[in-house]
Amino acid sequence: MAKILVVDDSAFMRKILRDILTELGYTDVTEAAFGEQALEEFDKKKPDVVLLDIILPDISGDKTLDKIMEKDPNAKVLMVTAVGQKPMMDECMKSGAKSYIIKPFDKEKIKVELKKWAGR
Amino acid sequence: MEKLTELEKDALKEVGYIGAGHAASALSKLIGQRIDVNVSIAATVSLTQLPETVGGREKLVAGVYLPVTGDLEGAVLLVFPLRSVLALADLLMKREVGAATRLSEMDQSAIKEVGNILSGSCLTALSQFLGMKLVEHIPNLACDMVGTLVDSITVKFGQKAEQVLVIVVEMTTKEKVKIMAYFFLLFSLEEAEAILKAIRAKVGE
Repeated sequence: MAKILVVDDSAFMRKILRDILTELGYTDVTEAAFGEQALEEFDKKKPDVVLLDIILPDISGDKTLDKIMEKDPNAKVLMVTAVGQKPMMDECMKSGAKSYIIKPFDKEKIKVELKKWAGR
Repeated sequence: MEKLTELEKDALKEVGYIGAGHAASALSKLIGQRIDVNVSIAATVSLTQLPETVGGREKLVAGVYLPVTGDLEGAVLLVFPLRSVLALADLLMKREVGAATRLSEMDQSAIKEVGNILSGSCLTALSQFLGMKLVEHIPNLACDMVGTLVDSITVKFGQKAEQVLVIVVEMTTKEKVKIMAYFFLLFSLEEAEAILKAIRAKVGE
């Protein structure tokens, strides 16, 4: 089963995502609330897919993405954003993000994206 | 910033409806219920009048404050009266409405995120209407009397923000739970003039 790293400073959104992932059968889920924490967990867990919020309290989501891509240019990172942050998504896609998911989460969209990028 | 004409207010109200429609759609996904939306006021008020719009300086509210950058620099203040924010928290956490008497840490996280999503919806509608790029940043939540919230914001904007764009949205769930949301768009005087110019250019089309 694929390993997923969920990065969002909102405990509520991490809970919503974790519930959706559990329903979809993804049980190996690690959570991080900060960019630095996400980088530590990325090194430790080597997730198959990272779901990364664009807005984080310490280092921004796009900078966290850059650091992840430096660690692993083949990393599969899906950016998570509210609709008002869409302009930032274009930059993230240029930096190596594979796709983006707009909040609030659509379970079917997450299912399709994870099937595509987690491979299972 | 000069007052809006009736036509400009109508245009802003339309933008409010579009944004509120997106916001309601997003919220209905989160709570798993259909939401009807009504935009009751779209206008400009002065920063000092802002508390009266919500019901007076001493009205207890939850305020989600989000800085905005892009083609304009300013902020969104999304205000929920206390009863609305508690009902909203109950809906988000799948509790019976009326269960919450205060916001837990998880409730606060939920409300901040809802503020992020709802403001994003309204800002997207506004940015498309104005033809300007508006990007929101990290939301901050505070629960206090609305007068106190406004005072802390006035420190930041000072004399610069004379006029504030306001869109009042009433959302009603299928089970007739009403949630009031007040979107205040705060910009400095120069930015507010640019917004007014863009509205006038659009209305003049």
